[in-house]
Amino acid sequence: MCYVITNNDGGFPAPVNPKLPATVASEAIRSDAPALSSSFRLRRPRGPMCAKGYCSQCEIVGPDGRALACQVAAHAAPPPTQRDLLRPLGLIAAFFPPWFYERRFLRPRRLRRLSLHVLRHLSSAGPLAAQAPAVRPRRYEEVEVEVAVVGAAAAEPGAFVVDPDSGDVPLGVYPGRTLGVLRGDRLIAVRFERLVLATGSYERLPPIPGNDLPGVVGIQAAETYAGSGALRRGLRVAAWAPREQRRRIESLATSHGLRLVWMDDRAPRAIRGRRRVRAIVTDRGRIPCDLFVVGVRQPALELALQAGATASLTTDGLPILALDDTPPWLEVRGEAAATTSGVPDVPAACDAMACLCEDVRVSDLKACVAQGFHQAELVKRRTGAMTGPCQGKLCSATVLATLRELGVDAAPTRARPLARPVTLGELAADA
Amino acid sequence: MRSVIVGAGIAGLALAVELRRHGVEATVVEARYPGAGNSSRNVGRVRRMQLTPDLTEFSCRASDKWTRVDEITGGRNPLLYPTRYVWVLYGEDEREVVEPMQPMWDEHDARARVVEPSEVLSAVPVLQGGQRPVGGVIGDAAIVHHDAAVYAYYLFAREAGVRFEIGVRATGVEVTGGHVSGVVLADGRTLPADAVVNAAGGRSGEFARACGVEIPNSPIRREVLVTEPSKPFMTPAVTFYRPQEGWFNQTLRGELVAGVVDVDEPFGMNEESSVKFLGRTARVVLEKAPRLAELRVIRQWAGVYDTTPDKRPLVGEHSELPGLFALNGWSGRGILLAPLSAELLAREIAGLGRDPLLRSFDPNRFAGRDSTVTAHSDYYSGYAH
Repeated sequence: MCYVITNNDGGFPAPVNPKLPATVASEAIRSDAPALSSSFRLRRPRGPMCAKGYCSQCEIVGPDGRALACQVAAHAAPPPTQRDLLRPLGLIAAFFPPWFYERRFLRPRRLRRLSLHVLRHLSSAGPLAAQAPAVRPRRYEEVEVEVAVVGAAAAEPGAFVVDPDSGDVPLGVYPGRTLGVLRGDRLIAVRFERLVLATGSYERLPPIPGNDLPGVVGIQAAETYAGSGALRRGLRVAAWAPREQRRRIESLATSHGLRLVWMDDRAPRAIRGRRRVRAIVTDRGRIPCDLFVVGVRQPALELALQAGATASLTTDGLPILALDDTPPWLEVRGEAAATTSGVPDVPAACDAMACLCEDVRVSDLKACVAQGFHQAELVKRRTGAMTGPCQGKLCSATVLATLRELGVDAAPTRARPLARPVTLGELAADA
Repeated sequence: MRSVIVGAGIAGLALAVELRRHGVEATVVEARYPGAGNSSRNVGRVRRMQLTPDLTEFSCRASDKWTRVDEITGGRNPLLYPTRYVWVLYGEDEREVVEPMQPMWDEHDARARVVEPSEVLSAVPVLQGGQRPVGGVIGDAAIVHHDAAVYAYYLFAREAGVRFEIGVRATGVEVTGGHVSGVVLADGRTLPADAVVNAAGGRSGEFARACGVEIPNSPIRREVLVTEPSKPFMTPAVTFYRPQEGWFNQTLRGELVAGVVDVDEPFGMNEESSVKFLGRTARVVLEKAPRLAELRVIRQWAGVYDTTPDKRPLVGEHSELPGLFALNGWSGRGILLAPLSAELLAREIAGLGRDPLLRSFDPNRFAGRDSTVTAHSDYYSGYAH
């Protein structure tokens, strides 16, 4: 069911005082220029999406090297506004699959090295900073605990609680019931008897054209940006969310004076705009909007999968990866244990972006399978899907659902640490 | 002539392609997926110089073979990136080992030379500001994209009529009249074969034993980490052996891949990652190249070196079980050695005789020896045979 909201044009409450610190990402949203970076292969404009640092779509190059715009205080660096001069190259690259090199750069033989050399330098990745950052190696420690918990929401008395929101960095779950954690000046291998995971969830992006445009943000991100005063009054918001999220979105709109121009649990046909979201296209036509809020969630399962849990795509509505079995010593709670997306299925559009980090489109996945790559592990390596900085957080469900539609074994690919990117400087330890 | 190859890694796939060139029927049996083992867990280094004359001679020929892999695979690009190998020396004892190698390297056209610290630092600028080297060896090398190479062989093998049995494990061989006559699969089928090739990588010892043949191969874990991509900051492949063995290089895509080994790593099949590896690798690599500290690690994984006592592979027919061939025991050099070894073994299987280049890779060389245990050793002393 679709309803277009038209009755909230007036009577806004006073704007809420910003409670959260402004970041480079929130400033970019506030100034209506959310495009902060350029994608890896197709050089498509990208902007802040998760506001938590896991989507890796808002990486900028500041004076101290590379950083995620959503993790950098606004006063520390001006938001980069320059356009990517090599964008035309990305438009050409869009005609080729991710394995574009396969029949190229072989002739003439003597230019082979040069072709690859040029290709390396065309990367949209940021450069290394000129100065080496100061590094003080951590102490490596092994501790034994009864219960280890990831996520403060599941804290229980006596447990070793890893709280990512207060600075702990869970690295991964390793064999022998071991959890790797960065805490303070230590790298800790925590051996546990029982593990409780409340790792939350990520955005489940709709497989529609334009799903990677700057201005497509998660519901938590929308709340974060609203909290830092980045969503101006009257901003036109379209929201794709399960029914039970509607109240949350409505209250966000009401408390910050946003115009909710569209909200539905059926995804629109497409999101349109050149360097940012400008409109959505639904069955009823084009609806202009400034922000597309994704309220559909994919459980954060990588730690559970590393611990030996199994997961598969759901069959009810839009598929998400949900847990099947967990070892007896593992408990998964909260959003991470969700078993349904809560929204109807959406047919994947060929030009929808499946994997944002590596610029793999649904059409690329189809072409790869057509070549005879009939296992998810092979498709992953052939296309690069799920191998970028987000390591499949945003894309696993879309990629695997596309493979399942094509009749390919869609079991999740091997989950490996790290749970999220961590610099070498932070990892160095006397281990 | 029918052959069955156990293992669809780069060795098995390359052999299947080479066998088809001689008109030999080939079926490849793979328990997981093509490239599932160490063919997709390595970092694709192809280097000419080695510590012994036989390995250097073979490695030079094997490096030349790599430049022809595109022709053999129907014009597919394995993304072979010619660059240099920079072997950084931090101990005076290391210089004493490598300096006498120079004439041997020259004799075999290894294109490697011992250099002073300043040349090391200008070849690898990210080493500036780190621990001061005492010298280095700089040699011609290449970095190949392992997946591109595996898929080039895989796609061409299918075009060339190689049959595949994917997702089923080979559990042993059928023997008739003292000669191998087929491969037994876990699903109960037997594939008839005149030649069965053990190209099972880290599981080669296990498969050989299932066939009733003892080989001294021992798998030992090697871990890797990879960072997010970055603009090019280095082209050579860096390796060092002090304070312990470690290496790093930047891939074509711009990622840094790195690993520093645990000197106490136990032997055994282990493809799991560890926490200690992260801390150790980051610390040791940053001691050498401090500017890399800002790179974000996105993933870690592990594979194994299928290691033999003399660090040389087994390539050829087992004398105790005719019809069973070995193509394994790469000891960490599978990507480098596999394409040429596959070419030479295919000639042998097709009845064209044994190439003298394979003389030190005889799979029967350990028969009757007392000590066939693969032992931990310092890199340099590991070649004092």
